[in-house]
Amino acid sequence: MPNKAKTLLWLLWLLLPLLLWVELVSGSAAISLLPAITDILNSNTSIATIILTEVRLPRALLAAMVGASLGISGAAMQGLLRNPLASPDILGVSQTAALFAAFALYFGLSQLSWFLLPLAALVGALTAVVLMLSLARRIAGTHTIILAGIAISALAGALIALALNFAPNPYALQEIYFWMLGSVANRSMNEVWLVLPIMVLGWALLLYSRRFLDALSLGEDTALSLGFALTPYSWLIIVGVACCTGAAVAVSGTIGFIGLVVPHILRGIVHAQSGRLLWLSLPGGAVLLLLADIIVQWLPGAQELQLGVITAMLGSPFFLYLLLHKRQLFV
Amino acid sequence: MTSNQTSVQHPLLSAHNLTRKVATNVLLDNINVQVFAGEVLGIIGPNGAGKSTLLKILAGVTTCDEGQLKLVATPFAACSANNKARTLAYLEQRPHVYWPLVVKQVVALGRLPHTNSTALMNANAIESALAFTGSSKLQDRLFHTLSEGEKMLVNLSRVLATEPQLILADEPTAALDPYHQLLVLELFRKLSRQGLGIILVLHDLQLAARFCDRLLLLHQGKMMSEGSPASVLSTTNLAQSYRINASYDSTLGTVTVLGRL
Repeated sequence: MPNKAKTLLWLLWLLLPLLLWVELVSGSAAISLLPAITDILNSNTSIATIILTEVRLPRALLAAMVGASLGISGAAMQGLLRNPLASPDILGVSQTAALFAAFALYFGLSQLSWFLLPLAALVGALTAVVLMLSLARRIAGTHTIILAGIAISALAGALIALALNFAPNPYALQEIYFWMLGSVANRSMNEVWLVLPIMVLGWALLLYSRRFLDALSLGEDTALSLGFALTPYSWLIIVGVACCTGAAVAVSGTIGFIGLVVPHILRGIVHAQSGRLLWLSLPGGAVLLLLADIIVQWLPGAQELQLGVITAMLGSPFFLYLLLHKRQLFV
Repeated sequence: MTSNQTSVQHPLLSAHNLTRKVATNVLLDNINVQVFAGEVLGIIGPNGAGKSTLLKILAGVTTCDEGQLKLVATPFAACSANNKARTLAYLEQRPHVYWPLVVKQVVALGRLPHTNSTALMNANAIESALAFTGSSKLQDRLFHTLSEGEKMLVNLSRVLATEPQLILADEPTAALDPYHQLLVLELFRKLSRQGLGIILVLHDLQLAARFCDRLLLLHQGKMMSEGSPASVLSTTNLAQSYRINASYDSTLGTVTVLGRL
């Protein structure tokens, strides 16, 4: 069984550059990749090199990075809370990040400096997890944490709706609204460099906790008896999830379903321990979001669909299929 | 193994004057426990007597308010978490596996206290743990599709995969049929004869009388009696703690329960 998981991991890592390449050649302007790359290597500037480096490369990289971050966050939250429902979007981490970002848009902060919007999202994600965990300290049981998360999510959603209601002008309304739907289009390399270190830190924190998550699949008491201290490891995971989700929402808005569905799809293929699932969810999330973003670009129509719309539209039916046909996914 | 030599003088695990309170409620009052290599110690007592709490404190899963705990000769606080986890294995009551895992993966989780990566992946330890409980044929099955009896054997294998010197198990025979109750307790006894120290929380007095070398009777958080099954399972002790009319037959080593008091 571990061999099957290893094969899957290799497969995902091989699929990733392939999809990155497909993403780089897709788009409204037809450019040939090889001449453009030769131009870049010879430091010649052409329209093709500008499209490649300033439009498509950041988009492709962000799709992969955001997918990887949401995937690994979902796997880590499911492992920590030992619940198949846990994911950053269902427990309100994404929504709270979005709420803070919406405030940044609402008050025009995002126009003062390009990094204020991502920063606001990051602070929002941290606020959500800290709020959830401080509630969880008073209340026992992971089911209660899930309910607390859902309440936080609903509150954040309502406050975003409030911001939309009182939007100062139609332009701000549209900006907040489109940003909420989630997309990685029209981003620059600035955004890539801004969130990459935060995401890498998040991945590292989560992967460092992989053995704790393995132990936790036998419950808290057994994890303790296997030599893992619950509180410090839980905090590592919480901060890791906040970094991953906050950075993801910061550059892409709220892209639903990836965090929930990626670990489940992978679990449907291999019976992986929680720790191994983290390793799988990293390329797994990247592959899935790249795939969705390629579909977005290939679909006909004057107005390009937002990425978040596609992930939810394709993700939900697939998830229902998993629920109906793979009942052994959940104990 | 130097630890086996030292354990001739030292108990594997010893607890002195353990007290545990929740608000003004005293759950455990001044408890003393010692377990030596090669013996099975049974903790018995009616519901709510504090058996599981005591076992959790001994396993280091819960803390006590007062008292000293020592693993061989080292105080608990001075043991590293990994070292303690390698020496002392805890099997909680009906442990739950939260994700669909294959039996072999569940047993492999018992290797987690071995932090160095070759020791962590030690396939021999996993295979021999499965073989010891006769569960090798189950290794590729999904854990949650097993029967309660099979689950218990796999959980025991998981604990053995750690290669501990000491096993603490909370009601390992709960939810098992008589065949598996006997099988599991025979395995524990066999382990003790191989030099491990075993502490079991047991509800079934018959099984406690038959498989434990020594018993500790708890009543309302206090030690009511400690010693051989014959001395602990006296009619007076059982009447006072369990509120039952029972008698112990020392020739057969069995307890006959006649009724409630």
